[in-house]
Amino acid sequence: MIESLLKSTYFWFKGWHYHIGKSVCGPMEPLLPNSIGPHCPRFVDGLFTTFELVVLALILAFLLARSLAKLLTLGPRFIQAPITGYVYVFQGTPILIQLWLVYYGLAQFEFVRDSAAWLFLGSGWWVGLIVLTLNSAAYQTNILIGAIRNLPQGQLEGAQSIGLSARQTFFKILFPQALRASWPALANEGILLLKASALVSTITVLDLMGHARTVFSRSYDLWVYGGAAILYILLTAVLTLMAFVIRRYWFQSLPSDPWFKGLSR
Amino acid sequence: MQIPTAFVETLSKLTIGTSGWGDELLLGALMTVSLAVASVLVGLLIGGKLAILKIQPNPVLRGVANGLTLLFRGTPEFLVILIVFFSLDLVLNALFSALQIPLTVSTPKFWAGALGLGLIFGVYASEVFKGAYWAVPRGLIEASRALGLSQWQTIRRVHLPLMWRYALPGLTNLWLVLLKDTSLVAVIAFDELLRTAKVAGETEREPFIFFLAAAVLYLVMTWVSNRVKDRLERRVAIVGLN
Repeated sequence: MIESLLKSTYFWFKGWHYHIGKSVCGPMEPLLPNSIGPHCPRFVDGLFTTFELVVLALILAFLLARSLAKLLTLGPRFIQAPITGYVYVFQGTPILIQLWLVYYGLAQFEFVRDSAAWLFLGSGWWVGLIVLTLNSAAYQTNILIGAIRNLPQGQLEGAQSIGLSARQTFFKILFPQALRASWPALANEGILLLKASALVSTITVLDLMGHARTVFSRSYDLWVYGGAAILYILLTAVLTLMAFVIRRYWFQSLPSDPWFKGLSR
Repeated sequence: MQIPTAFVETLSKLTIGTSGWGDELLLGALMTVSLAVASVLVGLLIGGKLAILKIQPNPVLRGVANGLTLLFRGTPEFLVILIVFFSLDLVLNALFSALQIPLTVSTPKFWAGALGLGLIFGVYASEVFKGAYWAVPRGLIEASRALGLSQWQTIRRVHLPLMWRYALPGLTNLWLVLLKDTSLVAVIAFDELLRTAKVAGETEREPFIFFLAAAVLYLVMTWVSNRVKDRLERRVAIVGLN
């Protein structure tokens, strides 16, 4: 039941990607080289697949990193060591090995293949999402915890002295300030994740890189990779713009914020 | 307590010797390190040249260098490596035929990987160098000129040694990133650590344990790098300047 629901959602999205792709590519086809032209809708599908995967992973990782940062700042001591270990392991190993360990490594065990989790662990897209999320969460936790530790000590003491609970102290006092300070680093991490997401093409996901590799293997024309590079740069620009817009409209601007000199509403 | 025999059998595949893959994995780790070192050398050359362009007063030269940086920062490392890998033999063979050398080569995987990774390293390193160049206090340069050192002496004796100290933290961070990026070269079938683990896993039909072993080796390498990084940074820290 769940499987068919997941499949139909997946194909509904794919259908839209190709629908948009065909209407965008129709007028553009004569302008493109022969090795790209007929495959243009695939590139549009890849563009959307990569974008969806990265944005979903970034949002999930942000929520996870926020909780982990809270546990690291105010949580019990016995829970801090495993979190530090998790951050260290995910930052210390290549993301490619993480992807292959989960996708190819776990598939070896029969109990994994028989379990309910196989619905997700057997699909490249889901493994990609899970691993990108876990990887990015490790990096974002590190960024957030660094920003929290850099806050003046008086913030924590002040919050506790007026009787705020640990939860309130974190979510109302520490986290908003840390987020403001670390936003450029988080945006940078988003771009790094976008670039790392090209690796999910090695676990059979047809994202932008996956489509580019398939199309390239038909003609061996390097312009295919050149086109993919241009689209990735476009996606980087979109992510940068999104980071700017979120900071501009969602954060209350402060007079001391150098970003907003002459910009604040 | 009894240890299951299946587990012992699995572990025995990691031993060093003809029956286990331990020595192959260690050799793969050695290949990873040597690839990373070669990439750093290529990258420092490229990064130095790019940084020189970036500190020029000429806006065209600066624009070219900054444009290149923007291009490489927006492109996945994986794509850069594939482009270098597939274009290198085209370039080499075109070069040979232009020089009328009767020779056709297939891409050397090691150097294709080193060039691709070096390009990425160089582009980021050029930003580090540029920052370090401007971070050296102007007063020190002016003081050394006032003491009668020539322009070249000032650069060699004062500016470069100080620059190096400012650049070091950035460069060691880039080394850590590079060490992990070497795993991408596995996709173009260069036998470094990850590829060795993949081949071993496919041969023995137990990919999990081999990927896990490779991950542990990567962790060891980053741990050692972190220790060396801390020592180096403590050594070159400038008292009273930071």
